[in-house]
Amino acid sequence: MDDYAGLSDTELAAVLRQYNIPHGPVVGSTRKLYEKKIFEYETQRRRLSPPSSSAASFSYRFSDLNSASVDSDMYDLPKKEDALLYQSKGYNDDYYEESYLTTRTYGEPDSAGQSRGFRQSATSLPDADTFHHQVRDDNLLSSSEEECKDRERPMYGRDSAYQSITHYRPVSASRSSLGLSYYPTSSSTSSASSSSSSPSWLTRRAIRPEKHAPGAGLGHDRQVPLWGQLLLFLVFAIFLFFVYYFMQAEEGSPF
Amino acid sequence: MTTSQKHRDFVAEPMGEKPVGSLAGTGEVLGKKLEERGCDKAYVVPGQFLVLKKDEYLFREWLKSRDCFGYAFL
Repeated sequence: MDDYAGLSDTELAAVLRQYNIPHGPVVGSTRKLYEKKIFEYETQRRRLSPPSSSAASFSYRFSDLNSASVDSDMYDLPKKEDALLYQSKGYNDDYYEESYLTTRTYGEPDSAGQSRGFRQSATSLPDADTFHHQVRDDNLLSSSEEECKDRERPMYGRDSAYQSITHYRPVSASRSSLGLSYYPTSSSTSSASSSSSSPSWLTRRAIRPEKHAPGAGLGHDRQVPLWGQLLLFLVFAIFLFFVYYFMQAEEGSPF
Repeated sequence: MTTSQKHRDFVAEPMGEKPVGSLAGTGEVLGKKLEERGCDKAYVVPGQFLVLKKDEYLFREWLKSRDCFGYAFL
């Protein structure tokens, strides 16, 4: 890792660009971080024996994604996924399509749903970073709501891997609350996403009201509706009153 | 996730010239270390996030390294 210290800032930036690593300015505070990043990237490349380094890193991330989805029951994924997503940021959409095909931790009820999600995932990746945030948002939300029942939502492969992280620590300070009210804030944080990604977002939003419409008839998470409860209460109160009245009558002068 | 009193104090108003030790999560030791290394004001932290082009992963690495301007590695 120390051989990178010999490079000047501009040379380091050139190396980062060569490896297609998205980066910011190489400044005193950031230099060490980018050196470490290049070091990690190169160790990944060296780990694999295949001749072409690009194919090697491709398959490495591939298998890593699979292992990430397999280990979805374990909750130590965030770091690995961060690194994976970060590396895969600069790569083309073909890689993403293949990864979604293979990472299916949840059994899909119908393959149509999967293919729908697949097509949506292929189209909604202009900006992988915001997508990454979106997926996290969706998963935080979906994990809090009916997770198993909500099959209609487009199931991304990576989405299912994230869904198991129900206790995932919020990624940033803004993600501290879960619930429907969270939609507006999350959509504002992902405002940089392009229009093609927002339809998938909107379709998700549309599904929720549908799901809640039949639920609204039940009346706000109660088994018995509110008016029914009041009615029952009144009936019970009247019944008790009558019992008391008749008991009083018995205690009184019997006829 | 309930916020601590320190966090609430910090977000109650613009950070202005608040010292870095007033950030929720920075205790005395860390605050002093950061001040020694040059990050004596709270606004340096979001500044660093922006310099890293809002890359969360790198930002977290930077926070963990507890080193502000690369001094520890010189």
